Formats: sequence, C-alpha cells, structure tokens
Amino acid sequence: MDKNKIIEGAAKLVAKGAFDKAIREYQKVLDLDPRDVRVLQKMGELFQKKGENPQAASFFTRVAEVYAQDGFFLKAVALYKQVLKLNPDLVEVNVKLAELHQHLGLMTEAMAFFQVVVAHHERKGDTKATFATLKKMVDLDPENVSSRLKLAELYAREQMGGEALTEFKRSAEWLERNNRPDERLRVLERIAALEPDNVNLARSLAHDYLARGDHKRALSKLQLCFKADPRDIPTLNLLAQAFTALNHVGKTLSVYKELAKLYAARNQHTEARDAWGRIERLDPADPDLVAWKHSQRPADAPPPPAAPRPARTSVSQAIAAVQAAAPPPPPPPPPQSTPVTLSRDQIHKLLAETDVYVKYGLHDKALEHLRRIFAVDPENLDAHEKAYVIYRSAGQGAQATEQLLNVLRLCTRGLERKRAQAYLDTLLSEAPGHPEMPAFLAVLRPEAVRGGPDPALMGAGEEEVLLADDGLDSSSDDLALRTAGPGGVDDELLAEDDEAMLVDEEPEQVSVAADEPLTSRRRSGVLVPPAPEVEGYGDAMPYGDEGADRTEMNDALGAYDPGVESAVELPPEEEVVLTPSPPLPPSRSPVPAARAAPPAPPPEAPPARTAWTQAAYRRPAPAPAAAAPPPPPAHAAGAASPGTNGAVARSTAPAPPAPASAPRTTDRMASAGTNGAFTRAPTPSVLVPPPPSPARYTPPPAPARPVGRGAPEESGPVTEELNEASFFLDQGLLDEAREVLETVELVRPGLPRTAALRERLAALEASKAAAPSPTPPPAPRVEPPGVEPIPVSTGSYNLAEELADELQELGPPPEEPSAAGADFQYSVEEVFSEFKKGLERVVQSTDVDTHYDLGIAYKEMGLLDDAVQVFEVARQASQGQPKEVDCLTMIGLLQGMRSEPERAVAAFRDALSSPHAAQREVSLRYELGLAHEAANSPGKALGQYLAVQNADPGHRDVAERVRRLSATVRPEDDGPPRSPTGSSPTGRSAPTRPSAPEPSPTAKTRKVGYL
Amino acid sequence: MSFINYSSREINCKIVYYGPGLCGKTTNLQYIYNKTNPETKGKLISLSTETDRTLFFDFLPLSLGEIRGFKTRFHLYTVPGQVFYDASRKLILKGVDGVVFVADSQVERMEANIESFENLRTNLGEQGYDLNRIPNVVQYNKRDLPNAVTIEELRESLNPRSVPEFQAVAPTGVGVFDTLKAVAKLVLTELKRGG
Repeated sequence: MDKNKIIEGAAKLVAKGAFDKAIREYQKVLDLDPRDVRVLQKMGELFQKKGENPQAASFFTRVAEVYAQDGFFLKAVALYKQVLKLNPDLVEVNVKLAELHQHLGLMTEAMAFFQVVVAHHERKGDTKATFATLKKMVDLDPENVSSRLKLAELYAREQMGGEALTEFKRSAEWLERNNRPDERLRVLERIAALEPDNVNLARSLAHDYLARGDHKRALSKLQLCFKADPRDIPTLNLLAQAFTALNHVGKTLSVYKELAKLYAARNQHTEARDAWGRIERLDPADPDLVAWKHSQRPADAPPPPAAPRPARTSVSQAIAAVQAAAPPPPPPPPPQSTPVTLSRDQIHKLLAETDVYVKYGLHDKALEHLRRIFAVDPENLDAHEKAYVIYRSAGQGAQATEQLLNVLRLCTRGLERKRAQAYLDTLLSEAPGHPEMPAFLAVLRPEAVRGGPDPALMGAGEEEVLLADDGLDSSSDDLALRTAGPGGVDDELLAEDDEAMLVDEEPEQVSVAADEPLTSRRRSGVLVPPAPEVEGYGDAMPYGDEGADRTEMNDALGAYDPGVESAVELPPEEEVVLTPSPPLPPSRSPVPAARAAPPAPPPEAPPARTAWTQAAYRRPAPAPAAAAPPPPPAHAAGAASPGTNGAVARSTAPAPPAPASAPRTTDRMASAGTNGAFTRAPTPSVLVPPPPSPARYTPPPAPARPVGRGAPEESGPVTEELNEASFFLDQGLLDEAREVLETVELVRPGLPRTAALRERLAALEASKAAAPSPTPPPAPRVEPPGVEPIPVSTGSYNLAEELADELQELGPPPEEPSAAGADFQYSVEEVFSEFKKGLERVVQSTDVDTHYDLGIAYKEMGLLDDAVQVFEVARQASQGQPKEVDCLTMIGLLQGMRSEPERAVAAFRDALSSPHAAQREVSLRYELGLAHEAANSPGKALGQYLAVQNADPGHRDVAERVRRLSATVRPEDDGPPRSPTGSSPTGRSAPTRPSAPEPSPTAKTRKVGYL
Repeated sequence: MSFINYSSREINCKIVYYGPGLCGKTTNLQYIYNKTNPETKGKLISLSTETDRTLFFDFLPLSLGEIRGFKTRFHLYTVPGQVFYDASRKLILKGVDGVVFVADSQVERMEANIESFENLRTNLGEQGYDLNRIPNVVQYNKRDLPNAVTIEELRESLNPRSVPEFQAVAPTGVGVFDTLKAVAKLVLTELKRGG
C-alpha cells in the first residue's frame, strides 16, 4: 500500500468536498501508521468541517498525545486547546494541559488548568479526585498557599484533622515568612478551631490581637488561657493589657492585684511592686493598695481591711463579665476590612466621585478611588467596570484587558448575563481564543456554545466561579479582582460581623453580666471562633462556599456554638472606622454637594493592606531580582559552586561572559566552567538551564513564575516563533508566516505582536494579490565569529582501521528497503531553538559538510522541516559541486517523508540536472519515479522506472514497479534534464542544464514545526 | 536502524552516549575528536549552556570510508544528562543504532546513574527499542577519582546483562576508544545481521 498515494488521493477528495471518502482514505493510512500526526490532524479537521466535534476532538487529542510524547509540548498545548474549544467539558484535556504547562514551566497556567479540574471534581462530588488534584497542585507549586489552604480545608471537611492541621500549619509558616500577617492570623484561627486546647496558640493569638488593637478577640483567647492556668503570669499580663485597652479599670485592677500576689508568692518583689505601682496609677485609693502600702510600712497604723475578694475569682469574673457584655468575637475580619472599612454608601459615593474624575480626565484620581474600593471590596463589579473604562480610554491595553476579564469573571460568577454581553463581545473580538472564553460563553452565552449550555455548569453557581477563577489573581496592577469567595450576600454578612465586632460594650452590661454564675459564662462558646470568612482569603485563601461545612465541623468539635453567640444582643453601632472621601479639587465645581461633603483626606491604607493587595493579587513579575523569592537550595548551590555533583573540577576554561541578550540568563547564576566536567573549550553559551542536579535526581527547581495571562506577554518559544514569523514576512513566505501566527494565537492568544504581524501579513497578502512580486532573496546569514567549538588537533586514530576485521566481515549492503525510504521539562522547541541559535554562531553557512551532517541528524530525530532547511543551506553552499547532488537527494527524500511529493519531484529533478549526477542517475531516476508515484503521476513514474531498467535492470525493485505500472498506464515524459554525458536512460536527448538554476521549490519549504 | 541512502550511497549509523549529568559524555566525544584522524572526522558540534552543560546534544560524525561502495559513517551523539531534558533525550534516541551508557563512578552519583539507566530503558522503550536487544556497552568513567565505587557495585547496578563494559578516565582517554570500538563492533554486527 502506497501511503503517499493514498494521502494524495484523499487530498483530492477533500478538495472535491467528499469528506467521507477522504476520511476513509486517511483511515487506511492510519491503519498502517496510527501515529502519523499529519493524517491524524487531517482527520480531525475533516470531522470538524463535518461538524462532528467529538470525533474531531478525538483525533486532535491523538495528535496532541503524539506531540506530547515526542516532546513538542507547545504543539501539544495548541492541539489540546483546540480540543477544548470543541468540547470545553473534557476534564482530562484540562489535566493534560495542566501537565504540559507544568512541563513547560508555566506554573500559573498549569495551576489554572488544575483549578478547572478541581472544580470539575468538586462538582461531581469526587472527593478522591479532588484530593489527588489538589495534592498535585500543592506539589507543583508548594509556595502557592491558596492551593494548600484549599487542601487543608478539604481535609478538615473530610474529618482528617491531622492532615488538615499539617497543611494549615505549613500555610501559616509560609504566610509568616512572606510577611502576610492578616492571612496568617486567619489560618491560625483555623488551627485553633482544630486544636481548641492549644493554649500556647491561644496566647500567641491573643498577643497578636492585642498588637493589632483587637482587644475583644484577644480577650476571648485569654479566657481560654486563663481557664487552662489561672496563675500563668504571661496570660495575666496580657489580660491586664486587654482590660486596660478596653478601659475596664476595675478588671484591670483585679488582674494587677492577682499578678502582685503571684509575684510576691514567687519572691519576685520588684515585679510585685511594679504591679502595685500600676494599681496606684489606676486607682490611688484602692483599698487593697492602701493595705499593701501599710503592710510595707509596719510601723504605721493598720489600714482598713481590704475587700476580701479572691483575686483569681475576680479575674475570672472580670473576663467573664467582659465576655458576656461584649459580643463574642466574630471570626477575624477579612484582611481588607481590618484596617479600612467602607460602608456601602461610601462605596457608592466613591464610585460617583470616580465618575466625576473620569469626566474631567483625572484618571489617576479615579483609579485611586477605585483602589480604595478594591481594598475593601475587591469584587465590586461597578468598580471593575469603571476601571476597565478608564484603562481603555487611557490606552493601557493590558490593564484594560485585565479589567475586562475581571468584569467577565464577576458576571460569570453572578450570572449577570445581560450586563456581560457587551464585554463578552469585546473579548470575542479582541481575544477570541482566550482560555477562559469557553467558561465565559458557557455561562454568559450558553446558546452560543454548541450543544447548548452544560446543565451542570448552569446549575452550579459556585463551580462556575471556579471555572472562571483561573485568572482571578492575574492583574497588571493592584486594581485586581482579588477574591474568589462568594459575592454580595456574604459581603453583607461580613459587614454585619464587622459591625458587631466593633461594638463597644456598655459598663452597665458588664456589671450585670459580672453577676452571672461563672459556669454559665464559661459556656459562652466563644473560645474558638468560627472559621474565617470567605472574603478574607480572596484568591490566596480560596475559601469558597464552605461556611456551612466549617460550622458543622466546629459543631462537631464542640468548639463553636453559634447559638450562644447569637443570643447576645448587640446594640446598633455605627462603623468605627470610616474612610472619608478625598476632597475634590476646588476648581472642579460640578461635583454634587453630597459627594463633596466629607473633605477630610483619605487615610492611607495600612502597610498590611498594601502588602496583602500586592502579594495576593498581583501576578509575580517575571524576574524581579530584588523581590524574587530565594531559589531552592539545590538550585542556588548547584549554580554557584564548582564541582558540584561531586565531580572533581578539572582543567576548566573560563566561560565567556554571558551575552546580554541571552535568554533565560537573568535569574540564574552563571558558572564559568565550574561544572566539574572535564576539559572543555569555551563555547558560546546560549541557554541557561537550571544548575546541575544534586547528588540524586531531584524534582526540577521551581521555575520563575510566568507572566500573568491577563497581560499576555511573549516569552521563550513564543517569542522565537514570532521572530520566525517576522522573518517569514520579511522573506515573503506568507503561508509559513500565517501558519506560525495561527499556532501562536492558539498557544498564547492576544499577544499584541501577533496582532501586528497578522496585520502585516494581511497587508502583504493584499499587495501580493494585487501585484505578485518575486520572493526577495534570503536575508544574509549572520556571519559566524569563526570560533570553533573545539580546537582541532591532529590525531592518528583511525576507527576504520581498528574495525577492519569487522568491516571485512560485513556482507554486501542491505538490499532494497521498502519503497519510500512532572516534573518540569524543557521543551524540545525551547532547547532546539537555542541550539539553532548557537549553531548560527559556530557553523558558517558555507560549511557544507557540517550542515549536511546536521541534516542527517535532524532527519534521524524526525525533525524533517529543519532537516530540509539545513540541507538547503548546504546545497546553497555547494552549488555546482558534487555535494549539491547529495543535498538535493536528501531534500527529495525528506520532502517525500513530509508528504510533499511534488517538492520531492522538483528536488530530484534538480539533482538530475547537476553535471555531477551522472554516476547517480540511475538511483536518482528511481527516486524520482517514487516521487512521481507519490504525486499521483504514474505515467511519469513509469517513464523514470523504464529509464532505470534500461540502465540497470537489477536496480532495486524497478522491474516489479515497471511490471505493475505498465499494466495500467503508459510511460510519460516529464522532461527530465539530460545528464551532461548526453546519454539518457530513456534514450531521449537530454536537455541542457539551465544557465541559471530555477529556484528550487524547497527554498520555500521552511516551516516552523515546533510550535 | 542505520540510515542507508541508496542515492548518495551512504550508510549512517547513530551511536548515542547516554548517562547522568556531568558523567563525561561530552568529554568522551571531545577526546575522540581530538585524537581522530582529521580526514575521517567531521566537525564536533558541542554547544553548551551558560552553566557549561550540553545544549541539546553533541554531535560528531566519523567516517569509516567506503564499504562495498557505500560511504559508511558513525554519527556520535550525546544527550543532555539533566533530568529536565527528558524530552530532548527521547528525541535524540530516535533512530539510534547503538548506545554507550556512561556511568559516573563516584559513589555520590550512584543514584543518578541508576536513575539515568532506568530513564534510558524507558525512553528506548517509548521509541520501540529494547535495551536488551539494541547494541550497547557500559563505560564506568572517572575511575581515577578517590571516591569511585568498586566495579562490582557498578556492574551490579548498571550492567545486569553483562554487556561489554569498560573503565575509563575520559579526559586522559583511558577506555574511550575501547568503548567506542566495542559499540561500533556491535552496531556493525547488527548492520550485517540486518543486511
């Protein structure tokens, strides 16, 4: 069966629109070679044309699998994304995409796809799969506290307290290391809920709350500590601080008295005196103080007896009184609401003022207002809409796109279809291939999704959030959409909680409560606060809709009694911390009076707020040297130290300085010849991989986090491909340029440079259609610096001599073959791209032999396009020489392998036209005949076979081919150039070699095959 | 399988030097290049990264002259040894005719040796090859280092099938050509058998 012939036939059927027949033909090829990616892709395209998307997706998936197995990760990504377009619900494709992005080191993208997978599993209630995926996410990016917390919550939900604690504690450690105190505090609260008897933690939390001025919450923690040990001096000191801050003088006195007693009992008289001194400052007439003073002066008259109140009891009562009077501390407020609180009215006001600022072109001020809103309400859709408008009008495309995505995410989450339509249209026109588009469409425009909306998707609001969540943390500035939690309703709840928390208790209530029995007060159930509210974590703390679950868990643990909490009646309270609006510029008069009312300058957000905003929602910059997290130890050690891996550094030569423009060099330490490898001449360095692996194979170092998707940026292979596209455009190779650009658009949609190049392509195509112009000459090659990779030294070893015996034993050459001849991984594209760049520097374009050898090497690796390219370089450099025939022969063979029989024909014809082809004419004509057969020109093939048979009847299987073809066709003359000898195997007079060789069709065969 | 070009009358055999990072694969090729008759060798393509590690592959064509009218050549390749270049290694193994597994004799590299050996077996399998069938030899490199493991230990871990094995000190050339000659013999034998 002739594969090429079948493919050719199928292509003709496709051209005729006979898709079903073409599919049957292609299937024959696949029966022979199930991994033929070109045919697999053709099949996918045919099924897609027929509207049979499941089959199309199946074939595209097979192509992607082959690419992935062969290391062409970017190509695989492009194919899988195509599959997702056909069927966004294929969770396994999302898994593949996540793994491929992981291989490519694009961790953010990998995590985004894993999030989709997690959402799917959660929707299905598949806890086991959810666990597995979350664990993968945690392993993939151990620094991603969001994933770890989600895993911790899942553990907690599944009553796996030990595992939950482990993950919560790791998260808390990470948050502490990264100076995110607000979030850390909330995680510690979760730990406290799981470990209600952890007194040390409670005391630590109390200390933290006191430092933050949250005395009520501190008090609740201290009550737990006090219960555990009423004579613990640190606890009592903290209690005294809390009571003092709450202005409970009487209770403060009680605590100090208890402290004084304890100090005295422990013979810490200085401390005891200090405690009495504090009492004196609070109440100089305190009877106990007077008594103590008298006791210190034995000669004086005895003081009146002090009230015989046991100190310990008084402290207990004091705590209980405050606890009873004050509402039990609600869960810690979300970080954004801790330092700044804005009422809804104030937010509305800020929005109105933002409008005014926008109206007068004061974008900075408008954005400043929006930032303030996002500080307390990161999911404010109105604000995101305004931010989008501002950025759009300011021409800040990346930020505008990010805000556009945020608006769509929020609309998706809130099912605000009508509101989203205009934005969706904008995104569809600007970035139709955006990875979140399927999720947006599925929710916001389900009718546009083939097959209608996914009922599961439509029915599960929370899961929709997760579908759209993958970009929530992407932002080009701190106007990011910052949380992944539920929306408005919970916002209100949160506000109520905050208000409740901020209520100041009244003294009367305290005194009343103090009379209550201690036991009842101890039942107040506020020792372990409930789990943090959803909003507090935002994207970094993705507590989704788990409030109920957490409450159940706390109930089960006996740690939290909401009933008691709700039994406390709270007096209405105004907000304590308000952020007034900034004054409007006096010159801008048309501001409504109501808006201009609060003229006080806005308080600056506390540093913690800023840190939270930036750390939680900004995408990490690609390689900010100062802010970059320290590399993993193995990474750093490997990069810096010579002779790592235990290898002994031998004679090493200093490496040349890293080229300033060399990619991937910025975040890695260069090591000059310190790899412990043996003698090595300096060679151009073009790629910096991670440093040598340590003594064992270890998982690859976490790569630098990629650029956020919200502001698409080029990187690595994509940049390389765009450069290629630009090159193709320069050369007038429009088809090739289009192919590259289409692929790049699939892999990384929305790149401005892609759009620019596409415009350029369109312009060129238009001009070409108007007046076709000859292909411009190829750009001059970069002249190599003339540095040889390895200095040549003469030697005498001759392997052929050494193997003389074996060579003698070899029989004749083999006869006629068949007719036609998790880790993080660097992708082949990336490595090969750097390799080719390096080659350009060390191998001159005139070096025929090296290019020829490389062509063989590429061919062996299946890099057919590149093989053709280097053979073409070799051919150009060897024009008129015997080697040119070899190059053309190889080009012809490769074109046949690439299923380009016409180009193969042209190459063999060129080879035959060479004056050096005489000795190979027979074999070349045979190859030409094969190419003609593949090109569905059996008559011409027969003509060539007959010529071969005349010259060498025993040549390979020519006799069989002649016999077979003679039965069906007549030989045709395809006008082959005559060999210089003048004798043609066909007996026809040979044409003279054209004075100027016609441009080989192979000159336009270069394609980018690695994206 | 060796690539036989009937038109240009060439036979190209592909030998891949495999092994963990920094085991001395490139050094083997450099020594071969430096000590081989200039008329029988092509250019050594050896690009390195900033950290002086092999970029994609090293490549050295060696000519054996004509055998029954066919120019016969060995193409020697190395693979990048670091674990994160697995995709590149798979690609380089395509069309391989013989393998030299270069082991690092240092005790602290034993685990890396074993990992790499298993990686070789796996990657060959993915390309449809069987390490038990394909011509291959083992080279125990860096024998001059004080922390070298005994040959017995290396053999037990890395040469269960007792394929030809050689001790080597690649920078000085000890065992380098012995290794090459051995694998070349096996490849030619296989070529003969295939013919």
